[in-house]
Amino acid sequence: MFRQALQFINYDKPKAFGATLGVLVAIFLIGQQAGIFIFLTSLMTTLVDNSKADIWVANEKARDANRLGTIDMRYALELKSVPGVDIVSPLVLAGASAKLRNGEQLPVQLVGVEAPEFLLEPWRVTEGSKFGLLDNGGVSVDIFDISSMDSLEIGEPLEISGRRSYVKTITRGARGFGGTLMVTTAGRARALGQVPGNKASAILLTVKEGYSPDSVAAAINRSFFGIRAWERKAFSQQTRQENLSNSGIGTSTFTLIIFAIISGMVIIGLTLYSAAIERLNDYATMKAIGASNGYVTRIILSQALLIATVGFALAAALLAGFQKGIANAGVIFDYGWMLWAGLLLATLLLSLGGALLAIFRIRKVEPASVFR
Amino acid sequence: MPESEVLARLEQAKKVYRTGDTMITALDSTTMEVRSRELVLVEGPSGSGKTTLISLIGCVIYPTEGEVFVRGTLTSSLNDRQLSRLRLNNIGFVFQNFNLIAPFSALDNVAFPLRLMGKSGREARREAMAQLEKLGLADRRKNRPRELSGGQKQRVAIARALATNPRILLCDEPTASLDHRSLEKIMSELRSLSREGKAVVVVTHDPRLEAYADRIISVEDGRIVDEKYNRD
Repeated sequence: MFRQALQFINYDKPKAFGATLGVLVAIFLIGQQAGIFIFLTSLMTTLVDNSKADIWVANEKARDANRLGTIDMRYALELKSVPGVDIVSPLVLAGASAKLRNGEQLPVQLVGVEAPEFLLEPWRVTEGSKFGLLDNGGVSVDIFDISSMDSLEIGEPLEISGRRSYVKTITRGARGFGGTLMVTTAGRARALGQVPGNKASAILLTVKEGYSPDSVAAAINRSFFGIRAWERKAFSQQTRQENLSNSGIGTSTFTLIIFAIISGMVIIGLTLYSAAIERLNDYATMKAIGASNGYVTRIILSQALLIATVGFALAAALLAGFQKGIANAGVIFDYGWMLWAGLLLATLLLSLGGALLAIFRIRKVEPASVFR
Repeated sequence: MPESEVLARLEQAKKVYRTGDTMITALDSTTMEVRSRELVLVEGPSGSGKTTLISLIGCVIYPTEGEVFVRGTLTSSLNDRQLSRLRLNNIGFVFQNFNLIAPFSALDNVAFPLRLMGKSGREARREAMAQLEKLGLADRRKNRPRELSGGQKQRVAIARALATNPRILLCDEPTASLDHRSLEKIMSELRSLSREGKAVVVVTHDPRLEAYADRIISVEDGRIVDEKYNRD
């Protein structure tokens, strides 16, 4: 069957090339959009996902980890008394302006964490360590957020809110959704971001062994007013949902993917259809000799499957190249096996769906037409 | 001489085509038999119903009225798949324009019906190769139809028709594009196939073929108007 399908493909190379190109372009576009979407959604939840906290406690109105508001630090003391709570550590998010050595001004979001717990520490660290943040004026910077990264070195000074600070940790790809992230200590974030000492953006908790974060969070929510405790994954999901519903990123990505599928299906469908029309006499002959409709259908589906395989392999190679290339610009994401499986499914949908038109036409061909 | 048997029978078979509001009777109620060990020539002008007759015997169409039996099987009782199977197992076709499958090589064209019968690719190609060798086409096995001459295409078409060893061989104008020498060769081959026990039905305009026939059927306006036997 595949041998015969391959012979049909081989006989009409330009059309096979056109259909393969259709698969390649559609799958590449879908993969590209999906990659950017994964990157953006990972940025939305990067603070939560990279924290070691089991529970995030924030203002009761907060639905987005990037916009937390503030809560009173007294909650930190009270939370320590909740059964099952182990480490309690405040998190301070504050906006500030950084001035680099070359004079460049950069709006930044300071992420203040408490040592030695470091329930949210700099991630994807390439130089220095989290302990460098404890040094005087120590902050982390990401090389993709600083245009003068060639000259970026550990110990390099920069000015944040008019105060001298020093690069003590360098990360690669630890970027924020709202802007440039700089991790530092909670105290320094308060001072540079002008956050009162009795306020925090959130309080991060870990739970003791034998306790589930869900039940501890539920206990906190039952006992406290004005704050809300979120299990980490639930808060990540809530943050993603909040941003997607408010930004239109999901809708635009989904629309582009749907259009890529439709246009791919049209290209493949028309190409396979036109190839089938040109070979009507061959299919009629096959049927006259004794091939059933099921048999010729399988020959066309096999052609579509072969085209899908080649198109997918080429698209996957291009997407891997795209992923690598764009990572050099700081857009780092991982497709994951589920997305690859989804792309494979989309390829099959495109190719087999595209073959339907040709199949309907060929099934209608009468074997008697060979005598006319 | 062994007795002949009825391989195909038309009983009051009628075929009507509908074109818009117009009904065209391509073949009126026709009764005839095709027997083993005979070469039947079907003659008649264009549009007389020859092709419809051969299409009914070849099970590529159903009759509008009446019945068609092929080796005792009533064709109108079969679905598309069963009818395909009946064709595959019992009937070989040689088409006027050869109708070789363009993307396939000569060998794969001959192997195709064998693959349909469920033989493995290797087995089908081995048997197809034997057929091509018989017809002197072994060296052209890898060529596609467009790389073959008219005579070579004709022989590949015959090899394909015979590959499954069918009892009935239907030939539509098999000598239309052949010179006298090739015509003689092909018709002698078809005649010897009929002597081996096959029923060979040849549709033609060519009166030169009458000399090879056991029986000559003349068709006009969708009816059999004459039927004569060659006694030699």
